[in-house]
Amino acid sequence: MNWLAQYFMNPGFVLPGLALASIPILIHILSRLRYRRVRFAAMEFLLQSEEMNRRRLILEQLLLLLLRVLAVLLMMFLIARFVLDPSRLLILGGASVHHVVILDDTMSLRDRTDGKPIFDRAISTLEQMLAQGRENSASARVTILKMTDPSRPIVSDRRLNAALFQELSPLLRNLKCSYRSATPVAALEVARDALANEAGVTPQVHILTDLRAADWTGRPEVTAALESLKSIEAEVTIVQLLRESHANVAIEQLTADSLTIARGVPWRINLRIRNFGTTVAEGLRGVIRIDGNAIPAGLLVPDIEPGAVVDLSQDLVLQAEGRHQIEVRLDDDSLPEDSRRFIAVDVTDRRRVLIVDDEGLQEDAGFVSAAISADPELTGIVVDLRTSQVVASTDLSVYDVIYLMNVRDLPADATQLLAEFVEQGGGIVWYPGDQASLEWYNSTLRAKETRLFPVPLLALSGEADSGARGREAELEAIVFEKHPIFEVYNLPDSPFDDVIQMSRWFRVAAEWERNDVRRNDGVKTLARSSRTADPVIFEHQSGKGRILTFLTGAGRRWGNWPIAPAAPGYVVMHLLIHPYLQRPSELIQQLEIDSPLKWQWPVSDYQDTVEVYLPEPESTDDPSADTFVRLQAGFAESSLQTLPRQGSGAEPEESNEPLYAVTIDQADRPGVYRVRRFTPEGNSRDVYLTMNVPVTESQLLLADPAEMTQQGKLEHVKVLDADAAASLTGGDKGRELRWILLGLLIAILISEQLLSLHMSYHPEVVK
Amino acid sequence: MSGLHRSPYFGQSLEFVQHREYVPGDDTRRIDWKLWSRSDRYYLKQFEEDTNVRVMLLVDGSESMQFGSGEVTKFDYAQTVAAAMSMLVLRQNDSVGVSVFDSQVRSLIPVSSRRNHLQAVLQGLSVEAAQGRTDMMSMLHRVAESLTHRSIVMLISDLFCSRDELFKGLQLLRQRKHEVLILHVMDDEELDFTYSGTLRFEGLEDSGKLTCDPAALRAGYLSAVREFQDAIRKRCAGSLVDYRLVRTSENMDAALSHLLSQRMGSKR
Repeated sequence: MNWLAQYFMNPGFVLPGLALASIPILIHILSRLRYRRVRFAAMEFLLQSEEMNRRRLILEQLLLLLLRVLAVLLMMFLIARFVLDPSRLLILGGASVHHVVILDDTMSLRDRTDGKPIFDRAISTLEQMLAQGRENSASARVTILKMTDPSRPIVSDRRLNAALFQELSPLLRNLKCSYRSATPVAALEVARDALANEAGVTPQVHILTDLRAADWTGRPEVTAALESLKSIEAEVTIVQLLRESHANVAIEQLTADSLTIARGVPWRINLRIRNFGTTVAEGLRGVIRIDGNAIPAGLLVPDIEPGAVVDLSQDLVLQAEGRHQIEVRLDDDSLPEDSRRFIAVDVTDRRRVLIVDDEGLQEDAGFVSAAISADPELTGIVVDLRTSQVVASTDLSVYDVIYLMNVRDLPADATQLLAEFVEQGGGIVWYPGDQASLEWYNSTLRAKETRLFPVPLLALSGEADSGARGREAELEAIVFEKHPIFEVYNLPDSPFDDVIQMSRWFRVAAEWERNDVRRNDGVKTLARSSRTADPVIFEHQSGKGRILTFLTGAGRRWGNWPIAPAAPGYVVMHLLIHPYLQRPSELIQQLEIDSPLKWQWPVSDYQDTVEVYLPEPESTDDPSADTFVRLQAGFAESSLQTLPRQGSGAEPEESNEPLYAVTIDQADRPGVYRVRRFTPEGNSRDVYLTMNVPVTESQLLLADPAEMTQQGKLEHVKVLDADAAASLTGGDKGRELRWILLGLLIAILISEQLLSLHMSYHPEVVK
Repeated sequence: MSGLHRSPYFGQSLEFVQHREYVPGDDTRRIDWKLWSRSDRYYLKQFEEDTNVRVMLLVDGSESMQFGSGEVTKFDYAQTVAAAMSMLVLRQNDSVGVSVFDSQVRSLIPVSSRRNHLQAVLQGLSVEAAQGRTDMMSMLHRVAESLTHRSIVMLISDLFCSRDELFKGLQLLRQRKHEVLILHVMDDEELDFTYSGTLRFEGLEDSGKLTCDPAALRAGYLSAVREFQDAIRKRCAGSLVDYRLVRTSENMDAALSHLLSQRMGSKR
């Protein structure tokens, strides 16, 4: 019976069917034995007719018998579901079918229906398809790709048989849906490459997906990838696992101005929550957990209109030094994974700012210092006030921001240290002052290798204009562009910008292009004088650090900015400058879950052992998942000539030094990961990785299959739901055979009837 | 007057039939002199001769005549037709005789016109059920020998015999100046062959056996029957023998009426 299973999906019907096929023969024999006797006179003519028609009659009777036997056999074939293996039938060119199954394992497949993730349905559907495919055809081959990682197939071009099914079943059941986002394009291209240039093979692509509109409609690249499958004559079946879209509310962003803060100082986190559903999200509640402990004050979320976003802020106070992980979580919905988001923060005792002021009284520095550190317990900032003479001998790396005021010039080594400080992420604020050496500013600081100063200075206002010499300088207000540090001035009807009076400022060289867009040198003009529109405040970047340049003074010699009534705005601005310019922590990295995390570092920085402390698994995840792994780094490929100095995501620097590289495959679920490396001296250094789910997976609106297949030339694409797809995998050849058998049966039955009619007597009806 | 039957021969009687131009050798006594006096041409007057008609009824009593798909067998039908004909002939004061035969003569009632002759004819017809093969040649030969006067010989049979022998016998009768009529009696099933299902046909008169699906042979059978009828009809026409096919389902009065009217028409 086993061998029958190769040809029939219901082999149990075969033997009874064969027995039934003998019935017409038996009936024929019995009818010949059971006859009626008739005494007849005109035998002469009867015998004459019999002699004339004997051969024809025998042929007709045999044909009728054959047709009846065939009809019974065909009915048996249909009931037993005969499957023709193309490889064993030369008439079909000996072709086999190569099924490439693309399994959508993007995060949206974690969307729950009836309490279970859609991904479970995808797996069960795939299992059914494989089971039926195994029964239907011995020549089918199968490749299974994950949409998030198509370059590493689960199975690649294997013959679909019982052994493979046995091998795959546990593998598929243990397969977990990823938290990643992926476009179908890559998987479709891999499928096309796998199927291309296979002579004599019928290519079939099956895509098990939720068919989200965000992935499948309005995406020309997806349409093009689907169209490209037509060029290799592949049939594409999209199996839609979900019929109706679910509502979903997601935390799109969880950010903070700074990830390195001082203890005891209010730290603001900012949330952006979006309602992706089509109804108002009401009664949402949230909880904030610090190191796993929920804070008593919950998060109040207002009602959110469909498609709308809500921005929320929450101040947290962290008293303990060290690194902390913060989790914000909303009430669970059908996709709870995007209702939680993580952020990590490095808390130190105090943050330090260096103010260098070469003016004798250091009055300007005093104003800034008072603004940002009047009470270090409140701001968490400690200010070191120095002159430029000590810059070269100071460890600048301990400072978040350096103010440079009234500096005439600096020695080359100090300039180099500043350049390195900015390069590595530190922030600088320039106030050149009236004793500034324009030549040093315009040449040394603006040199290509340093790029510490944004604009060429011409002269102080009033000095360059001979007509204005001797006259009292006119006062001008400042017009601010929209910028985070000018938050207080950007408010509607802000009372603070109108009260600023600026009496002197450096004018920029006339040949310097005023238009930022046309100039396109990375320097942004943040503020101008109100009447003459002279640019007075700039921002530019050098390496990883930012530099703010004020061409007016920080004190009261050149204006009234630090004193009443403009003082409040002055204080707020400088308090905002600190987090804006603050050196980003190398010890905390915020990432979105994407392709496997790869790290590399120079062999002289750290050893090759990496310890990864994984976040606690969610209850829905595998409870037996590891919480700690130790990885061994290997040498990076020689092609990788560049590397981040420490951590990933850094601007690479040229180096010929060998690199260690490691891939942290385990960083595939949301949470905070602690990655520990060891210096050559054996000291450990931890980096906190905050992994959050991609927001692109939160839009759960489903595509309209009809609309989707109408895009482009997608006649070869059909969309089925999972129930219909489960009986499909035998390949179209098998299905076509059923229709062929049915057609043949109808033809045989019609022929049998016609022949019977021909061979029997039917008196004419007299009308 | 010995009979009312109109003779097919022209003779001397009171009933004028037609004029015919005189040819040498004609009896000069029959010249119509009145017509000569008017036209100066010789014409003979022809009169219908009333004769005592002699009818010999030959009824086929072979086994094949025993076949009948309905209530009536061909032999029953033939007997009844012969009886009816006898009664008609005797009522016209003509003479009638009857013979039932198969391979031999099973009964023979000589031609007579006696008033009580009908009883003898009916007795002669009421023989046992048909049996034996048909020996048409010897029967017709015997009849030709036994009939001394010109007679009308009426053969009632299914004609399932040798066609050559049949027509040799008929030819003999015609040579003896006898008028011959054939009443070909056939059963509906023999003519239409509407059998169905598997049947075993057993031929009467030992004509063979055959197990078959009759529907499959029907077309060939009917074709053979048509050929048989056509051949009989043609040869009858060639031998100046009147031929009439009757079905056993056909009403006998209609069949006889048709036969007689056809015959009267042909003689006029």
